[in-house]
Amino acid sequence: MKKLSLTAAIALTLCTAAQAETERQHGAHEHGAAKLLIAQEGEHVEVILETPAYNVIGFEHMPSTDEQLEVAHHARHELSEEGLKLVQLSKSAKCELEAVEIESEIMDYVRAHFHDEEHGHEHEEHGDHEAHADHEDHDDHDHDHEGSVHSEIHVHWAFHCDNVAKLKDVDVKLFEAFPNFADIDVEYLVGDSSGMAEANPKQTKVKF
Amino acid sequence: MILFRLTLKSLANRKATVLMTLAMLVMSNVLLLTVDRLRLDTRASFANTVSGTDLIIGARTGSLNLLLYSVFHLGNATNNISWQSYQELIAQKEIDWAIPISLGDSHRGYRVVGTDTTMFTHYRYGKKQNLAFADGEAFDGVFDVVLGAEVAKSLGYKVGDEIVVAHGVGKTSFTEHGDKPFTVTGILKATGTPIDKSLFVSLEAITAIHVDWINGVKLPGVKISAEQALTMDLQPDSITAAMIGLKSRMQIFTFQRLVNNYRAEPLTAIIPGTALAGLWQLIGLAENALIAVSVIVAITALLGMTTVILTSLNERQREMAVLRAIGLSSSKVAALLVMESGFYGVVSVIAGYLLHALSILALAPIVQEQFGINLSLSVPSLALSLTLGGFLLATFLLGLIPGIAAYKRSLADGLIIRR
Repeated sequence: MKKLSLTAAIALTLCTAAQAETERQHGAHEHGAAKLLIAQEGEHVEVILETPAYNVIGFEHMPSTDEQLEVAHHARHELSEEGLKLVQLSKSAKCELEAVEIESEIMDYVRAHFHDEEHGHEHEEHGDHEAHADHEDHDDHDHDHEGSVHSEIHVHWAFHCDNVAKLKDVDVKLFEAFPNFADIDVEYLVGDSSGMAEANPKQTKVKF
Repeated sequence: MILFRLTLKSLANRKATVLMTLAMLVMSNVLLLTVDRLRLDTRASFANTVSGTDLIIGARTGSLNLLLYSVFHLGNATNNISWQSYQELIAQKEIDWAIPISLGDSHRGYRVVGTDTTMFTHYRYGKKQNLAFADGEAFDGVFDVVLGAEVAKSLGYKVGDEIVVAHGVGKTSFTEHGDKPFTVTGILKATGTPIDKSLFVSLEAITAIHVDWINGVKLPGVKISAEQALTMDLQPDSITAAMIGLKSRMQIFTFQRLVNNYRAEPLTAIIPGTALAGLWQLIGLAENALIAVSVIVAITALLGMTTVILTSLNERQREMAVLRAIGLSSSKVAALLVMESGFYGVVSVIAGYLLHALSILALAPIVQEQFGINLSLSVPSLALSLTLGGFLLATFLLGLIPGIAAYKRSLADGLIIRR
């Protein structure tokens, strides 16, 4: 047994070493914390959520039980369908969700799993990992995927707002949908203002 | 109206006490106004400096650190970024413009910034203004230098002068690059940003003045003249940081991620506005403490004022009695004191604002020179206006305390002072 684990350890070391000699950089990974990035240009508003998978599904590995699969499936559905509800931009700005893109190995796995099961019942999304890799602009981006392990979930929501001038705040409802979120750093580039503010379950609204 | 005149007459009778009480209240108002102004103007000055920059790229470090040393020349760089990485990054298609920054040398206490001419064409500050020349033009040759407004003014330089750059950033440096003097080709207009306190040379110049230096020490016996240096390869190995403008704002977050995950070199990209917000979060605590202190000072002044009026009641027993005797009702006597108290409030707020305005006007040039913060005169912020309104209201309400006391007494007291 001991021998086996030693072999495994060596194999693992070799494996990582082979992957990248110089890559020993690690991004921060803090459960409960996440980043919400909001950028506006013209009538387009892009919202990016960067979070450890733990915050969304409560675990950080490929789902192994039916229960975990179900949880992840539900979370994925929420993220891809309910963007407007999770991230509430000022009502009077009249924003509509245009596209969603989810970057996450766990979510890709879940999608594939249910996709097979339901014979394409689940509709195709723009955030497909393979499709995404095709239109990669930077080769570094690909490395990034490997580097950030499997545990990060990135969601891109693209909104179209008819009345951008009225876009004054955002109400972060992620806390309600996913109770594991403890605090979210909201960074924004909206109108003339850019800045950062922290949202938490008690203070979900952030003014731009 | 008669009551008001009576109040004024009564106050005029006690000039010394009244003036001292007013002084106390005025000072507390000046403190409130000035602390708030400083807070807002500091924020505005910092924000103005980076208003036109999308991203700042530097070596892997904290975002605040990078922001402070690259743009505000506060503190020193932890590491440099390689010229190669810089070239690779600015070759990306998202990049609109890029300004390299190379720090480390100084001239009589002012920072020398190695950069290129994009600085003069693309750097924007304040309300998206470009840099403008008060005199002369951008540097062209290796040994040309452009001066910030403040540098030219305080050292009395003009276009055509020759200056020598010192190694390091101390006020007095003994190791000067004396063999390679620079010619002033241009002087910038004042911007109210750290630009004013900087000297700009080309990146090649930074390399050139260091060609006979190794590890920060001049090589003994090795002398490379300015002419010889010009013939050498002057491409820099590294720069301190770079300011970046992207074609679209939507790309900022993605490009930031690209830089932060850059595998060839550990780099940090920051969005200036966001990093500043982080700074304010940090400084917010200290700011709140300052505001709390000034509010407490205001409260102390208000209590002091009430004490003064209450104490004066004893001296004014006869005055009150006379007023009652000639037919002034008890409630009117009370109103008299509320009015007196309110008078203190109104006069102190107005005088406080005037004194605040005067001190801002007097201090603005000094603060600008020493700290690079533009003090401005403007109407108080909403929160502060409410505080001042509360202060005014408090003076009237506190007037009720001596007012009620006088009301009760004036019923009982007679003309004769009983002991």
